[in-house]
Amino acid sequence: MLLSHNKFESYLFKGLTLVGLFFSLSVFVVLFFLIRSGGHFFLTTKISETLLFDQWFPSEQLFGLAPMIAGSLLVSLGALLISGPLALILAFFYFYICPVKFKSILNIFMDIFLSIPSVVFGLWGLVILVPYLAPLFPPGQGLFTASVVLAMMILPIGFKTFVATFKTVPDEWILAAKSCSLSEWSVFRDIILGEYSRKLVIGFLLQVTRAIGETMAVLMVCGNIIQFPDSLFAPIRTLTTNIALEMSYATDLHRTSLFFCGLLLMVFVFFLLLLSRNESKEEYF
Amino acid sequence: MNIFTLILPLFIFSVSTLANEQQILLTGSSTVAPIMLDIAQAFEKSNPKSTVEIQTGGSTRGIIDVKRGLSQIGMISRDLKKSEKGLKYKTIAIDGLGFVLHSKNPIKNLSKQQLKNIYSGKITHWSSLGWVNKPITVVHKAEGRSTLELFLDYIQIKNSKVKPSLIIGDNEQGIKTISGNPYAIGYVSIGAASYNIKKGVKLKLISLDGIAANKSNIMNKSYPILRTLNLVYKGELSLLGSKLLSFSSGLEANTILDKHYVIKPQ
Repeated sequence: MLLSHNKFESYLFKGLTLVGLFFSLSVFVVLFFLIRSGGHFFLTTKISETLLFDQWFPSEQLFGLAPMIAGSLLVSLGALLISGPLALILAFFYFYICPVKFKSILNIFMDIFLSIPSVVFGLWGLVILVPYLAPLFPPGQGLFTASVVLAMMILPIGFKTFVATFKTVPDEWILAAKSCSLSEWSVFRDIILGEYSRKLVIGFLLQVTRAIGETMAVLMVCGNIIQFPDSLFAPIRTLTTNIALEMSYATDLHRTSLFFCGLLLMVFVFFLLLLSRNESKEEYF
Repeated sequence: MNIFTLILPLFIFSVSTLANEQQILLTGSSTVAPIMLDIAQAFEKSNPKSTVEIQTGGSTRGIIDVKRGLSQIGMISRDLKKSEKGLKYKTIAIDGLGFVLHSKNPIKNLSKQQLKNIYSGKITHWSSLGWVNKPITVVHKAEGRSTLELFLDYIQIKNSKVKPSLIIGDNEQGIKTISGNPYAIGYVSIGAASYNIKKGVKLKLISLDGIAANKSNIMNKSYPILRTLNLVYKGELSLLGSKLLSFSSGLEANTILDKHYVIKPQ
């Protein structure tokens, strides 16, 4: 017997709801897994010391995460400083200035950019960017190089989010501004930066969220030395690259400490998303 | 790219596919991986229904994975330690550890003491070794890599005393790093280095205390840092696994070993 059309639709809807629920819950499964695996580390060491301590020698039971937390934050900040303004200006150009003919080209270009695997960016940094930087600012791999590579990766995310924000700017404002013969620059400065700055924050936050979790691209260009960088070009290690480098051979407490690194990352990302949610009363998602 | 296999979903996926009899997973040393990749290709040609998957992560990962049953065969670029003797192994090749510089660098030979001074931070500029006044970029391996253990053992230095400028994961990353930086020094498998030099990568192997890092010196064992490349496994291998094992040490593998500049054990 065939199901009636309505019945089929209601089954489909219920099924899809279940699938949706499953995927939302899987986040909690990951979190539970991280807490279970990293929890042992949490209980056996003094966390306040670990977070502030700067010596990481797992074989000697020294688990100082401070340099890597600093590395993760600094490299994301560096990437944002490069990519944030660039994405904003590019999005403004795309939405208000760009001739219709070139709009789709720019859009396709951004989509392609967004779909390039991160490893490719890392490889590009390692074989193209680093050889230029190495003789000028030895050793060539470090905070700056990693920031540049990351900036390229997060640029399209900022671009897309900013364009979405611009779509919510009332047309009347722009028309009014144009009829007063205000320049594009004035529109940008007074309307976008002036009135919409709070809504732009979300674009920046989403870029940082993407940057802080990136692993492979950073691993290839950040130098991986555990230290607080003393210059813009000094090598660093981030929480993510630490996991990638050491997980393959880590055992016991060392292994749980790496899960703890993952837990920390998850906490960072969670807060960033919470912030961006607060900033955006309009729903883009 | 075989280097970037730490991505968890892929890893889980590959483990779950192990249930299929016709697939076999090898994990471990990034020194052995490129050789096994070529051997696996030849093997798949003569056994059309089989798939060999290879992932890197260092010798220690190879051992751990085999012990936990995550992979059937581990690739190890060192001799087995006493605590690992419970595992069975087969030596497929002999390789040396070579020190490499960018091809622009005129230095052809370094002594053990000079290397120790470079890696402990006592020599920081190339001018002390008779070249330009530029800082040396000291490339070092991440912990858990057998190439690192071999290096520390030869230089006689503790890992915490090494003052590196950069830390790399696997051989391929090291080769790209050094060939892209004229002032860098690093150490990689002689086989991997020779293979890349032949392909035109801007790299060169230097002599150690006057002994050149070449095939004949490995063969007559005069080169000071030698190691075996092994495949390890636990208990009884599957039919496909034992086939691959004998293939790797058989006649068909000879040309591949030659191509990778490693020596077949006598």
